[in-house]
Amino acid sequence: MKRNTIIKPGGGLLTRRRFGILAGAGALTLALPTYLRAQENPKVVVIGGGAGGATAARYIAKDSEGSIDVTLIDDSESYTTCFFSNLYLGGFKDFQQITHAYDDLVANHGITKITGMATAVDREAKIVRMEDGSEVPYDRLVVSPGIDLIWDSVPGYSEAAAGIAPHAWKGGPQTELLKQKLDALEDGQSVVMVAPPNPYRCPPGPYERASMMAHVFKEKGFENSRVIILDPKESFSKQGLFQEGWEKHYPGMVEWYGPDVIGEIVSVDVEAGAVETGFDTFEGALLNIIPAQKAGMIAQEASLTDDSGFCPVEADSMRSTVDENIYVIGDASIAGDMPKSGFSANSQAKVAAMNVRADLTEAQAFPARYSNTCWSLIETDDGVKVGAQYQPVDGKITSMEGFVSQTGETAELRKETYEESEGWYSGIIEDIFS
Amino acid sequence: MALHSIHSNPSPGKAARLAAIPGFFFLLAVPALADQESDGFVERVLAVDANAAYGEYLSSQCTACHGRSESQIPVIRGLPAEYFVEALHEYQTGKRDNDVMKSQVGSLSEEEIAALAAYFANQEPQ
Repeated sequence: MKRNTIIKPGGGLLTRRRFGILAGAGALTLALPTYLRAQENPKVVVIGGGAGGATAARYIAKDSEGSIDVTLIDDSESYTTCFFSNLYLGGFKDFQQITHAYDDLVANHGITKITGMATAVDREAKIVRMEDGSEVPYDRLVVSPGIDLIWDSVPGYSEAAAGIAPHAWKGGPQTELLKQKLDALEDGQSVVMVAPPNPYRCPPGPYERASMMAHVFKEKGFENSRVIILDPKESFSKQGLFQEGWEKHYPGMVEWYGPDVIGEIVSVDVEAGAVETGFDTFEGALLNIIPAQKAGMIAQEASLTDDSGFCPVEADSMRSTVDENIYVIGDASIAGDMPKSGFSANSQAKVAAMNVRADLTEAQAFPARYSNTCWSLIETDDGVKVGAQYQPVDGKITSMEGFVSQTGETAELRKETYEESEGWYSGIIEDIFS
Repeated sequence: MALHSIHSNPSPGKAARLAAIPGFFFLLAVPALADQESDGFVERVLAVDANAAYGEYLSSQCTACHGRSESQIPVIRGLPAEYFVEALHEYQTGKRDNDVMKSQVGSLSEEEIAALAAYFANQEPQ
């Protein structure tokens, strides 16, 4: 199978890069009989077309230059990014700006896109089973399903209840629903948000969202509406930065209560717009309930998860520790010190893609390097960021060099940070979908 | 303070972009525009036989932000190697000031910077 990678399908010309590989492999390969070169390409299937999966599909297809057949499975025709969805909520982006089609991946890299739901993985036979009964065989499988919500982690909440009290923790219709409901509020009406416990997608996300909600209120001149955050965590990402920003931009408008104040979140009644806690019952015209999270359904179905609900992987490759033919990337994986973010998923995808190519072709696998930066917008032109580099250390993806914005930074620097985040968004979208 | 002072520098010429010779191993023994402040860093890195495959892999970390359209984050594809090496060295030494870039390039070895410089010099900006 590896020999195939030297010759392009159809006997096309050797590229410069291929020539280099060929020189390394020895000219003997050229003398192979034609029937041996005509073997089928190895097959890679990627489940999940988000920041992780689409990046992995793109890099495997792009860098293997036609020597690996790549199939991307996602049940949507397009992908709405969860990152920057808070900016849509705040009115800084429109919905189309955060929604991206798969057309370029198909046209530019020859990726086969299957729009449908993968419901099971036969790991023995190396086949993905689809909801419609069809089967998709693979030599290597990349699983990047993102998160599923643990509905009953907030008693009284459910998938049906999300139609009234949106979670909006997956980009798409839920994001639009939350914005519609936010925009419909009148002065004096409040939002009650239930924040998720660790670990969850996008650690600063709930607090950026609260900022964007307050921004909408402020823009409308509301004086009596509040954004109330009920949190099962004692502290949260960029806490000092957000709290400084709330006081500066939205004095008295954003209220955050941790478990030391409210105790447990006892239950939610979405019809009544009420969240009962150990301390008091909070009422809001809009409830935004973000439950606890686990790896996406297909990862559970394929038994790739451990007791944590997420998928253990090898730190140097993102290969599943339970199946050598499978890689798990993005929010579904247990990636050591890395937060669950679109940036992390994109970074992990590249490490996985390199190792997939090394498994199936002559490509070389280099030491894994990972990186992440999370930007958050607090108010117009007031952006903050946190980020780090990561490398495998003793079997764990470990934070090496990190940074975080500081309180008291100048308005000029904060504006630059926001503009940097906009540049990043356009860059990473190109890196995922072009 | 310019976030990426790369913007304030003159745009590199096309001829300079061709300075790196393409091949499986890029040869970077280009006459360096010696930077007096770099203690010979730029010349030393440019003299490294850069591993193109490694450069291509490392570059994927850069392309998470640096795309083909100009923004607050500059286009780095097509930058001449000596300019690229000098810029990364300035992030490492703190002459250029950006948290993300400092973190990104802080642990890069001279061989890794050489591989990246060779890779990007050989790319079309658009």
